[in-house]
Amino acid sequence: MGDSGPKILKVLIGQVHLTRPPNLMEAVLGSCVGVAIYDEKDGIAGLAHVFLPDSSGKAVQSLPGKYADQAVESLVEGIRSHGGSGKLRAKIAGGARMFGPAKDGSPPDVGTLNIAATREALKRFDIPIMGADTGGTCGRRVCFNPANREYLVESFNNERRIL
Amino acid sequence: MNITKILGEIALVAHLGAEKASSALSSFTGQQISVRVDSVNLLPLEELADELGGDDCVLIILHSWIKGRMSGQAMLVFEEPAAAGLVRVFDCDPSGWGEMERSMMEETANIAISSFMNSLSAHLGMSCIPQPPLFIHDLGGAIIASAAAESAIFGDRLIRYAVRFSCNDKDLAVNLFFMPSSESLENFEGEVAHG
Repeated sequence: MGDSGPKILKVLIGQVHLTRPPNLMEAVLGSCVGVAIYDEKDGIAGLAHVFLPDSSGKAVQSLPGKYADQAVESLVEGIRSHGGSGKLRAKIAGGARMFGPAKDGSPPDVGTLNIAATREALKRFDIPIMGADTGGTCGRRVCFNPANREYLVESFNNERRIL
Repeated sequence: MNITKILGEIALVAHLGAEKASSALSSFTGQQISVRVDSVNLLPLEELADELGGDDCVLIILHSWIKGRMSGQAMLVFEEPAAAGLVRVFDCDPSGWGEMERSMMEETANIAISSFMNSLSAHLGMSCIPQPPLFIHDLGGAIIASAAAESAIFGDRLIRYAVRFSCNDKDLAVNLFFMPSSESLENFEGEVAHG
């Protein structure tokens, strides 16, 4: 049998991971968005750690999950290329505003942009969002379980939700 | 954008910033505090989490927006024990991170960040004005990645000063991150181009 216990895959900034039950995927998010996409029929699922909203046509490099548009595309292609043929569903978390508002010349709130871009990318692939815990001002620790499609979200302020 | 060039300029004056910070913090606390810079480097984003003890390590971060021609963000980053060690210098109790302790940390960061930014500003001849720092107690990976995303100018790298505060025979390891805005890097290129 070998090493058959569940593995916990850490999904770092800009990374995309795919796995099947019983493994889990987790990430720590601030303004980043953790987008989980799963195949309803085959059990395969993926988690992307989205760092920025839009690739603006840049080629995919070493971090396929860095931009929301490329992250969703990479997840869809990955699930399909690993045999996932069922309907795809998504759950998303993150996109916090971690800092107080800047004064003059304020840069954009990346968290809000990441949420909007992730929703838009999912819409383009016609993937419905089955659960979301986004925005706010705290970091989140998230864990997706492909076995039951539960997305556990723990905020730094001790709030705990299962999507 | 010549990243190496701006990193070189920053490294050149980092020790001046450390000297100013030592002097100002010693005056503020009434105790001898020494600040020195061990290194200045570009830290790849993917190494950030490991460098800071894992991305779910809880950190104390003092975040400051920087205004002026060299604008952006700066952050003074402490692991919790180092931050606790520092507020004890002020006879404060770090167990609950109350208003007094937060205020002490914000003032310390204000002095340290201003010292480094003023040295850089004088060297480059570009205004660089730190805003009052904000105390943040949260997951390190969440905060720093968010700051990097707000700047998003070095591709996947941040400028990191590895700094050491010494006080009462104790060494406290601290990281100072500086993330210039894309506009300020263009300003910097312009300054270099015009001599």
